[in-house]
Amino acid sequence: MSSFHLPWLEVLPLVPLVGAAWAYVAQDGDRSHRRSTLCSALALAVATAAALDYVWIAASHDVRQVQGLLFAVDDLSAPLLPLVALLYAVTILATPKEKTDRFAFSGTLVSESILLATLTTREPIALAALLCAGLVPPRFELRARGGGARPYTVHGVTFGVLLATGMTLSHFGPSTETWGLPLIALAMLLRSGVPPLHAWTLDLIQRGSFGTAILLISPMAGAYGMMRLCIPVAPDWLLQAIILVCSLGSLWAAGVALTVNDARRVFAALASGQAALILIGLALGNPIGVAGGLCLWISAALSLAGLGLVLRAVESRIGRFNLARFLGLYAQVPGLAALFLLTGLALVGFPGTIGFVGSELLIEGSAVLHPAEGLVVVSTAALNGVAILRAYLRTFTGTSRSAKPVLEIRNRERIAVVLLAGLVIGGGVLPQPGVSSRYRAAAHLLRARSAAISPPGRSPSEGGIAWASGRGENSHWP
Amino acid sequence: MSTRDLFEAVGAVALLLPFALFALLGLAGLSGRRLSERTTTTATQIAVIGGLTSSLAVLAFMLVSGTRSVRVDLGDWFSIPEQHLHFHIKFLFDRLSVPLVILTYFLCGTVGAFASRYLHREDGFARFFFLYAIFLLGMCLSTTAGTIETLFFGWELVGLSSALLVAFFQERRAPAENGLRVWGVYRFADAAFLGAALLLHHLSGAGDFEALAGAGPWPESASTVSTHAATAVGLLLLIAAAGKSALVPFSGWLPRAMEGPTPSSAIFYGALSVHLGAYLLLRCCSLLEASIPLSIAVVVAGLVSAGFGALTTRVQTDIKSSLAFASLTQVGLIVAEIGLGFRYLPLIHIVGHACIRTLQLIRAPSLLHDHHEMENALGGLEGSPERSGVLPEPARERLYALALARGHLDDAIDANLVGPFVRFFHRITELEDRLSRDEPNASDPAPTQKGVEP
Repeated sequence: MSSFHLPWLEVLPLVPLVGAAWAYVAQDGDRSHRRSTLCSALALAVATAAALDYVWIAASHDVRQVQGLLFAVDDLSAPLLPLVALLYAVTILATPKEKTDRFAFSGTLVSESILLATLTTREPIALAALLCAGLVPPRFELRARGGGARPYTVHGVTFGVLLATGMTLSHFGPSTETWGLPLIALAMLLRSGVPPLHAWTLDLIQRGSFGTAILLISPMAGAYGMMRLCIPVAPDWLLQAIILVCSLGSLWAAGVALTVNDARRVFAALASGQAALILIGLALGNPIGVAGGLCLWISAALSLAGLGLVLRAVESRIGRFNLARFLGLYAQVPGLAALFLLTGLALVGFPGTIGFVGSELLIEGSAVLHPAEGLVVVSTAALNGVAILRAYLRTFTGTSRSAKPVLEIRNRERIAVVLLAGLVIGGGVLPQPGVSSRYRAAAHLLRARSAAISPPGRSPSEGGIAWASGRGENSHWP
Repeated sequence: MSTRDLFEAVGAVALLLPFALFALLGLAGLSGRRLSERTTTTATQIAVIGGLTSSLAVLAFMLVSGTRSVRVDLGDWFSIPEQHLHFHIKFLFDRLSVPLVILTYFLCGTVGAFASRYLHREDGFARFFFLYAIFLLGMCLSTTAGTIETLFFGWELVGLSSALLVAFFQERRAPAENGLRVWGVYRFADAAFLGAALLLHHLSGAGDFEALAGAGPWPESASTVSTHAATAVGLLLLIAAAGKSALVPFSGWLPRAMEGPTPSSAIFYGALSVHLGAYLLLRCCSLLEASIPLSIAVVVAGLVSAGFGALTTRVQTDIKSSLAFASLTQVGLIVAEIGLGFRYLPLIHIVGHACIRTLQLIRAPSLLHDHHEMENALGGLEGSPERSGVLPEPARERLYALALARGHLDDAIDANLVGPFVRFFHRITELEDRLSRDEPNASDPAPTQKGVEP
């Protein structure tokens, strides 16, 4: 088995972890912000190096997985590492100055460390534990900000219980796997925030900091868990059930995004809808559909983060805002207005942006066998498109009633959002590398799935989660 | 390089120039650099004149060589070769697209020159020309599209630029609301368009442009799908065309679109984008020939819209709304002609109507001035003599009231579609509120003030 030229994967979770400690001991918010920015940028550099090293090794040795000392990377997780590191880096970078005293930089870096470890871990049990652990730092933040965080806690505990039970049942082989896999799927639907299992995202976004909410929601850790623990071994009926739930969930979320007035709720609804669409793609079970889901995953993460950062920047200027009236901010912040529209349109799959590619593949993947799901994707995109323009027009048009001047986009915010916008456009104009990479991951997953569903001479002891994590003889994931 | 290659390159220039204009104005806006009015106007002129010249050169080549079509193939945008999936960027200059792309450049050039003076020193000058560039690019892509994806790309660009131009005077609330309304109808049409492509793929197993537009050169292209599939797909395309061309029951957005600046009203809703639905039906005419019920539906939709437009335009109290409904009358007739099996007639009708309507809309702000000039020249205008109608007085009054209320179409859509939708999702939102409430009887926290970490 090939290995990396340097121990990138082992260093990767440590960088933000050390950064968290360094930021924690800082004496003031500004210093903590600077240290966090530096460490998150370093983590981004290491993650990018790991991804590039993987691409190099995979191309030169024709392998689909590269192992480090403790961790491993394959086609699925390789691009997710720099993606996640980028989301954390830009969110920390764009934190407004007036919020540095209140934003939990060290907690954010701990979350980053957990998520990076989640993406590189090889053991299913460790993966499940890390998915649960990822919910803990935001819980501390919610408690620190006052309020009970009851829905968030209840959902988090339910997620942990479902996952633990599902994995235990799956571990004992095919006879109990029938009960275990649906529980794992349910846990991942909950973790993804697919309606109607999304109350925790609403609680988080209403009571937590916007930055934390962006970082917990955008990377779609639930989809990753679904991809690793459930889909490779899920029977067809379970995939159909996931598609059905996610279809209803995406339409639910799109309707709410179009009618709700709280800006944060609009963001949460759009994120829930995107999570549901991604899971539809992953559960379609054909290479084009799965590749579409994976492409949509990348585009949704970038677009949601960009959109969230713009909304956060607007909030830092005028406070929490409501879309019931026209705020008229265009004249004061035209740069933010343009970036809002750009990232919002990318989120709904507007042609020329990165979102279009994923949506097209998703529709294409559903055309032959699942036309109803294709219509769901089309309808959700149409409704979300109206929701985005409605939010844009309500936020940036009309006459501003504020007597105080509103500051135009700051340099830190500009760097963060323009970087995301550049990726959103660049990925839309030149989508081939991304599509090829995602197709390889999809094809690999489906090969592992076909091996797991009907393995020659599969014994009960080899069943369950071992297959889900790809321990089958035809799989490359250890 | 052969002559054909040369003209393919010339055709590519006609499409790359609007893209270059869009990129230039877009990058300037994103980077925060404000281009001067002179630079913006000059760049626009170069793009339009260059594009028009290239299009005319392609036309000349086609006429001289007798070629029915010139294909510009820019290769795969992206592909998955293992699955035989190729998203091609291909453009087609043929007897349908060449007149329309020349018309687009001609009218956009005229209106661009007009707008550079009309919007001189306006705050939104740069914004207008950026949206104008998106529109120009969208129209060129739509009319010359050689694949479904390219057609959809252009179709979406036209929709977005149109909606944002309706909301151009964004300090006022009404234009923004009307822009959202237009966008809502467009998105509905977009969904119908994509639904048609999806259904086509599902029913025929082929989702390529040839399955949609038929095999062979336009207009003799023959359908490659069954009658059943042609009817189902064609009806969805008719909905998409109806949304884009403001046919009944979507006509309500047309007068709302007149909230935008006069140049955009002239070129978009009076001349070009309002004909995009008719263009789609013309492009997919092979489906109409494969299905008589579909043709009947198209004729009915066209005639109903024409009748509605003719009735409504007579009672409008402002000139732009009156011209908007007059446009609808003509577009309705064009659609009916398409349904009746004509191909070149509706194309000529589109070109003629677009030109005359652009002229009328551009002259609209000077209407009173023109009227006074005419009055002075004639020494006073006498009112038209009283005429007795064919219909009895009560029926005429009811018809008048119906026309004045624009057929209550928007009210009907609001009451039967938008209202129930909004009410249903308000209930869902209330349910979400209950699920995410921290304590059973606690209310949501009040919005924080500025400076408090959200």
